[in-house]
Amino acid sequence: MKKIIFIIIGIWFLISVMGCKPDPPIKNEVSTMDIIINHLFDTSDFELNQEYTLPSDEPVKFSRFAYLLSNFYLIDENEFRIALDKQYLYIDMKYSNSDFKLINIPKGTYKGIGFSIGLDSIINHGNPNQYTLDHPLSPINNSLHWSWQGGYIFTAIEGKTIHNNESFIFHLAGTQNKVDFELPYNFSKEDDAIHAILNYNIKEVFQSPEVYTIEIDGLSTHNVEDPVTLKLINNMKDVFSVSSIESL
Amino acid sequence: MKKLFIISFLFITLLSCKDVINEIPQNPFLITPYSFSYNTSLLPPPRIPSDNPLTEEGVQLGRMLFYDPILSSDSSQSCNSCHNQANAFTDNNNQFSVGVKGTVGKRNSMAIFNLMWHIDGFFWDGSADILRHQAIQPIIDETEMNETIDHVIMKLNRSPLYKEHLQKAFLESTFDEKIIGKALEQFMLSIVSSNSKFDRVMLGLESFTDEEKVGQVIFNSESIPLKDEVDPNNPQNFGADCFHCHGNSLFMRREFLTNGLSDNGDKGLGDVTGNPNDNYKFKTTSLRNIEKTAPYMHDGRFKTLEEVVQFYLSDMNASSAVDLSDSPNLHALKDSVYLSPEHKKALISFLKTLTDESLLTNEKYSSPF
Repeated sequence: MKKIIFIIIGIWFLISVMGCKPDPPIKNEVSTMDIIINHLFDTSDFELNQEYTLPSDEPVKFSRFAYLLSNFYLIDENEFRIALDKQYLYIDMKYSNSDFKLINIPKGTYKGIGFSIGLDSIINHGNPNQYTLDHPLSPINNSLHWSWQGGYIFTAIEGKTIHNNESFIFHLAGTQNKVDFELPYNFSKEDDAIHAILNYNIKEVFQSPEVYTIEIDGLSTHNVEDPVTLKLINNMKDVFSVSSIESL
Repeated sequence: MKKLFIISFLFITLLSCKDVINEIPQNPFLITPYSFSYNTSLLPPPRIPSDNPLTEEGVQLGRMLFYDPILSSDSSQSCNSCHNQANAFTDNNNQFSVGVKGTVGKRNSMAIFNLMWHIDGFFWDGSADILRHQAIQPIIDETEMNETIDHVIMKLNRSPLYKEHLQKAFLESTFDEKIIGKALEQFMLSIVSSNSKFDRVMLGLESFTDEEKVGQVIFNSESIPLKDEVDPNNPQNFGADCFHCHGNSLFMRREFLTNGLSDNGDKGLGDVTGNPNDNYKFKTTSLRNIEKTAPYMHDGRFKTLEEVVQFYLSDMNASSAVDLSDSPNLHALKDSVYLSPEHKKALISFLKTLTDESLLTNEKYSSPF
């Protein structure tokens, strides 16, 4: 009888002690990547409402610079592209929101990172009202949706020319105008989060391969296939570069 | 002795789980989550403050406060006095509201609906960061209700009716400023408008008239400045370019923007931030129910929709308080734009499809007294 009592007490003790233990940590094979995007005009920090001289020698001030990033992926050591699905960034210089986090980064050694300015067709033409107000693709949040056409503005650049005192407004959109980037950079992901610093050089949008002259090429576009859009989109292919990607 | 040891042991092991036992809710009162509906295909998921979830009891308390002149210094005015449901919660077509002392305000009373979808500040100048802060200001503003919060709290705490509702809604026994703000916030957040003809057409339940269809195209099309066109009657001069600032399903934008009005001494957001780049920027309000919210603009300077349309189609450069080159959102409108009389009429017909009659009569939003 005594043995039975002690066995019961022992079981009670074990259950009560185990029941109060915190859950064991789950071994996590994925982590996060912090991304900071430095916006530059040539080598200077880019800010709204500051005067800059375009490659066309036109002094301008920008009042809006906003864009959407999607299709993030990592290139592993075997050249496989590992997609980071359903992760989008809305960058708007007005809100100084250039510090982001990507999730579900698998452990491994990588040779680069890829992403797009703009969206694939399904997302671009999906119902924008599915997103919560703080989602990067919420039209209320980003003011980058053409509701009447059912698509997003991928990049919005607005401002004024100094000499002619004319406002310019470039709303670049259209799935065919999505700009893809693949940036080589060796890094490894072990247990800690990755810290990536990317540079976006706004001057490039107006520089190469063809210099964009506002006075000649035009003050505005909202058209997915007019010459203004095509020239600016073509110039955007080299705007991004990697400053560093490190495991912290 | 052994029994005592065993009982003590069991007691000690039980005590080690105290935190779990304490997680059992201690309050026996029930709070009912507030249920509401909206057009989910047209409106995104709303944002409700995590520290002030809507409850039936909280919304009801806020509704009582909203309609009760107890909030004003002489018990003559309630929130409803300047926010009439029949006018989409604006001030009965008055340009400016008159406070309890007979003082005339300087801005037009703002509509109250769909505030669950607002992100960046309240009031025309964005001076209130969140809705509960906005709710308190008219009470203490001497040009409006001219009351003190302490006095309101005293009056409410003396009322058995309010104390009963306070207990039900917030499980508290005394009012304070935070609770008053939260209750008013809950009621104002609960006011939803998504049953206009426009909504029903989008759901395939009704159809636009031919005129309304033309108006929708005009609303959603860019204008071509007259200087670029030889023939002002060219159909390409079709757009009124409304969508840039009122383009999403809420017909508003989160940003505070300038719209080319002449200076009346009110710098709007600029007066709040002190940033010259914010001068003459005001909240970009929703065009839903615009038919019912006359007069228009932050200072109610336009009595009719016809006057508003004419303003946007006229040469704003001549009168604008700001250099319009600083306002790319007005790029397409900064030169005179032509719309034929028929097209102006069509545009206004489309705007009237945004009227939600059920908002104007819904008993959930009406006086509880």
